[in-house]
Amino acid sequence: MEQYLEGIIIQQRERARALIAKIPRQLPREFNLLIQTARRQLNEHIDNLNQLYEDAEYQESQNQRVRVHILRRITRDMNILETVAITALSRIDENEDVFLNRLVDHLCRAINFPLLAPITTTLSSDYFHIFPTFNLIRVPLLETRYLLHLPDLLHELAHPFFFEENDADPSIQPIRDVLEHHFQQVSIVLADFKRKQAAQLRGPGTEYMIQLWEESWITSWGIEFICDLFAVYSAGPAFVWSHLYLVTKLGIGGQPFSVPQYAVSSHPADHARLDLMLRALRHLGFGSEAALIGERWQGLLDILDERPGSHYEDCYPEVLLQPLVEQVLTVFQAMGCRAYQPNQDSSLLELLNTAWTAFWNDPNSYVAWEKEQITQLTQHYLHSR
Amino acid sequence: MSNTGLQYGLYQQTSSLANLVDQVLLERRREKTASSAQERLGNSLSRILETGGVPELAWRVVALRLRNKPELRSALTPEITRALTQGEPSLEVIPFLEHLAEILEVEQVQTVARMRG
Repeated sequence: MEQYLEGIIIQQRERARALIAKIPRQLPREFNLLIQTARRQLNEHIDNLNQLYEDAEYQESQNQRVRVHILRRITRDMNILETVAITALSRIDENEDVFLNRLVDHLCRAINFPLLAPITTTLSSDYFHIFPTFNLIRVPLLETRYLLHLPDLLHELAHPFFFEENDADPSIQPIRDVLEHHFQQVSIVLADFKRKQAAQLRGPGTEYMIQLWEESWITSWGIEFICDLFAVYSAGPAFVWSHLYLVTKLGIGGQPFSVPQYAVSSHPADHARLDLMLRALRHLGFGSEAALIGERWQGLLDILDERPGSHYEDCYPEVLLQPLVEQVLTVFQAMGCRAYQPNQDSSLLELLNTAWTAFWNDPNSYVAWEKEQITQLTQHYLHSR
Repeated sequence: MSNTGLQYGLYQQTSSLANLVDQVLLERRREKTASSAQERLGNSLSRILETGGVPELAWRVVALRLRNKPELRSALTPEITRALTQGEPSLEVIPFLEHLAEILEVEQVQTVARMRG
């Protein structure tokens, strides 16, 4: 069995070397950091595989299980490197990807983003998301041709605040403290609710359901809500319009008032997210825009004939939502980030908001208007330096 | 953020934690009873034992898993956390860490599966 494991280690080491060789040369400088990260990680994997192969400690029979666990971790990490980072580097479109990276760089400067601007690529198979290890945002292939979803980039920018890589960065500690405090509140509020349910002799099914809520809040919802708030404060109404647009087209959190009953959920219910965003918009001084977006959202709920079930308010209690709205704006400003102000902001953030006005003013002529804007933007970002 | 990104963040943190547990397991097997890794692991376990709360996301997941596995939760004793933080020998440490390593391995496999959708 040891020989078999050693054979796998040799294969994996060979694959790591082949991946290093696969990184193209002469790529635009926007991708230098990703190249450096991928090379460093692959070299670390080769070193670790060498240790796993040679060290006397890993030859001992009592340590074979640890050896398998480590080998699997290296293999999983290498799979992600291959399918995410190396694939991105191998498929760079020198126009669209470079344009997108310069646009993200501009957004980061416009809001005074406290971390390194992420690298962005148009190779997503699953809407917008960010890979922490590579500081890499992935968006769908054609996203550089449209404006209406671009505010979602601001949501992605907030995720690195909670990545392990940034644990020691004091400039973002305030927002991490908000999350930590929020986690404590989740445990307290849901434990209290569980006690009340037990007192009413609700069965073990209810207890299990509350466990699912707690795990959902802790593993993803808390972070998702904070990232939504960061995006509202950075991009203003454009982000909330953008989210409504996404929900209308795809329905991200399942049913608008969904409450986990059988499995942990990665995204909060759409209504809870929209509700929080509208509170943030009002808190930022965009009351009339919040009212308008709220009307459109209600219009969609009416079409879908959706209304909250009996547990909705228990799963998304006011006491967990409203404090976040205020705390996140406070720390947003404490971190030196710039909140969106109409007519005073960067041309790009202004454009993302104007796009929504143009869309609602005349959806029929919007397509031509958007094409013209994208052409101008592309020319500006590709030829301005 | 889509599910892929969220799950990857959790996977990465769980994987780092699994590395730490394996490192301590190997150290304990070669009878090394004190290191910064052991102290770090002991401190986090001790916070779970005392308050049930730990700031790091992966540890929070471990705390939830332990809460749902009473037999393992009861195996986490003050003797274990003291042994790890103060560099003391203990027969209870290795079996507990072996269980914890298994929980983390399952967690990583499941998280990667969710990442793929």
